[in-house]
Amino acid sequence: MRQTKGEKIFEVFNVIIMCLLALVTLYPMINVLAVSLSRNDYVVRGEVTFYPIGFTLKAYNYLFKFSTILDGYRNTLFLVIVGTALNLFFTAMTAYALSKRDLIGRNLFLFLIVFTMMFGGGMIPNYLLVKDLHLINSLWSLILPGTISAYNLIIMKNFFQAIPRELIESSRIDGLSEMGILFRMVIPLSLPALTTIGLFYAVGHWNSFFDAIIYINNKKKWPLQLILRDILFFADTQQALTDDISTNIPLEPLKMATVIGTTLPVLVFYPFIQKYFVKGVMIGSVKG
Amino acid sequence: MRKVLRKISILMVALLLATGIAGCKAKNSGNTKSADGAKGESPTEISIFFDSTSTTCNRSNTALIKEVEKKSNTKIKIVEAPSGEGTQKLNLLISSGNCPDIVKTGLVTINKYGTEDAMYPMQEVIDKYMPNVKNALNDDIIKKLEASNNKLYVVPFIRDIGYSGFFVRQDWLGKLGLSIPKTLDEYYKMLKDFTEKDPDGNGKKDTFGTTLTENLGRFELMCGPFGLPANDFVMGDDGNLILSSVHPKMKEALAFGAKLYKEGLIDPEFSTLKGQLYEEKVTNNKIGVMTNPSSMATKYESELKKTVPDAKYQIFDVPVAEGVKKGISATSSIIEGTNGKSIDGQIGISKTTKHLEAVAKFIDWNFTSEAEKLWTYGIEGTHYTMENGKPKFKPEYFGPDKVANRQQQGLWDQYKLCGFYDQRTDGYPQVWAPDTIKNIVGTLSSAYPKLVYFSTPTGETASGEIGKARLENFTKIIMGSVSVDDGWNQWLKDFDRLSGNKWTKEVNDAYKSR
Repeated sequence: MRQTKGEKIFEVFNVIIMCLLALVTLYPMINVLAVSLSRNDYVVRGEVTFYPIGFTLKAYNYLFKFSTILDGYRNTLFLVIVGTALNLFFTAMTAYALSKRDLIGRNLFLFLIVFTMMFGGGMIPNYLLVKDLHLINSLWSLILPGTISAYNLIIMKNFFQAIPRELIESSRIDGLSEMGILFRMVIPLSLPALTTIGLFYAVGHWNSFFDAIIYINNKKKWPLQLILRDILFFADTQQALTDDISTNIPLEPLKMATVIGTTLPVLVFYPFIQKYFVKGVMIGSVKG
Repeated sequence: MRKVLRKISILMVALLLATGIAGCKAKNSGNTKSADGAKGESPTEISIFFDSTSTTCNRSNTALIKEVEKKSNTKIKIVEAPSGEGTQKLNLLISSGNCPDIVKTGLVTINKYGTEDAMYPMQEVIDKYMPNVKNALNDDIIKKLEASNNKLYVVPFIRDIGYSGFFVRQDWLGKLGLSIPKTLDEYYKMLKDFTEKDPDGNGKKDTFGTTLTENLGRFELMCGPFGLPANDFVMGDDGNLILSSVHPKMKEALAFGAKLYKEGLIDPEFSTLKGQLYEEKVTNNKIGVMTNPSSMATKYESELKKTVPDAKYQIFDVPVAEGVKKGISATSSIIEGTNGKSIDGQIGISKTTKHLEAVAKFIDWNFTSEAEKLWTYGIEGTHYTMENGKPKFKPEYFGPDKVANRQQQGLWDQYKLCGFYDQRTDGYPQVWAPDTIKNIVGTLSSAYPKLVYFSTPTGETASGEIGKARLENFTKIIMGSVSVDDGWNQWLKDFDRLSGNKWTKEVNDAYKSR
């Protein structure tokens, strides 16, 4: 259908406004990148906007040579990879079991799990629990207590419930064992859901901050977010009012370099995962 | 096959339940801590809590700490909290009975836990186990640091700290034919000339005599000439302590400030100037007078010099109003009789420690000059060499630009539990630029030594609200939204309503009882 003149004009304006919006949204990121690569005195004078002036890698040099950011990366990658794997494994198994309507005590289990969503122990009892499990100052304290998230569990359970019983019965007739049904039929069908839940868990691990403050005592085991906060705080408090500070570190570029250093992996990784969201939930199994 | 599998899974579930129940019953097997570490015995394990690390390097595992462990026969475990979250983490550690042996945090926090019986009363410990610490303290210091129940709970660290001083653009003074102001009127005239006579020579009226910063930062620029610190207790004329913000002379300071604002002699956007923005104004050649610590002054000056080659910030004594003896540029923790040294940080010993004697002896060892030298300069041969009997950093650690290297090794650092070794004489030239050193000592003369270190029950709850009311009222007066008289009366009313007078009375009673 050919567009009328009015529609054409609207489209032009629409595209212009959207482009402006996108630019406005992108500008802070561009500025952060530019500042991180600029020489400090230009930054301090406020001259850096879209592109770096006085190109230098001094801030990145300080970031990777002198700070504990590499430790932070190592710890967070551990949390994300190992943690998410454990999360998915246990959540999937539990959800599958709970999705069977003829499981003994199913209602009781579901009630208890939902109960924990509303009532928690509180910070200090949780701390005492982790302490008694000898997990203090270990990265496992950030993985094990939260291995199965009740919320994600219910989502996955509902998803498994939506898989038609006929499919499972037919495969049972064909001679497939229970474990086989789980790993060779149900899981492959649920890949979109698994990826989505996996992403929730992974982002949760990537962002882990508060639990790490409480349970981890040694800086070498801090996850990335804590290191990030530490560096930003360090750069900010250098405006303090006594002579205790070091003045030869480029503070503002350092802050920006830290931001880039911690968000770049996510930015790079995200486009690859996006397609899993876009794909539908049930990819054609039972027709008609 | 399936039947066997089912039997195995039932067995495993039963096993799981059994271990779960067994786990509930198992008591906490007492930690087998080694005996008190004396020479020849196994090292004592000491855990230390630092409430803010303010660093980017991992310094809990350096060669320096290993040497400290070796020399003091201890094994040090450092418990760190990220900057800003320290009090919360400490709170958690104490409530769960898991507090580390030594706690380094704010005085008010340690005193609070002391009065709640979570920290050891320090006086007996000092008398019994810590001769070096005893020598370093005097009655004046102890009095300042006592908690509200008149007991000492901390061991303080005493060292040089440089505070903020008044700095002026020497080159602007020269260009306009002015000299360093000594009286309030000369100060006013200088600020007026800086704003109106275009000292940066660019033909635009874009310079300011001075500026405050966000949250009435650098307020001493207005109240310093009247002999008052920004918001601290001072001794009034009647022999009683009074908060400087309600002192009668503060009203004159506010009137002065309002005049400056009305005539455009201070930056009208001062309430938005924070950190980076303030730096921009200074290094863009816009501010005549500023108050900053000497290291920041040196830094700004060197950034300025890149565009204005003969820029120079010169420190000067705070000009005084009539009848005022001494102008103030900053509040400090300077202690009388120590030649300008200040209290910088303190530690408490938690009551949950299992070896009080070893911990106390460890702290005492830190106060020896051997330990101070180790913490400040590092290991001889690795980090420094001796020249003429004085330690000198090796080239890769020497000088202001090697600060990152020093930090990484933990040298000249805030992680130590003692003062700095020979800081002012031999230490400073190795870590600061010469201009900074000259100015550091200069800032000491105009810094106001705090009188009140303790907090009182009303102070703890009221000081936050009072601070907010002060900010609001003072900003209104300075910006001219209310007249000085009306604004001041309103402020006094607010102060009383928020229990300010009650707080003052409590402080006076506590002060007199020491």
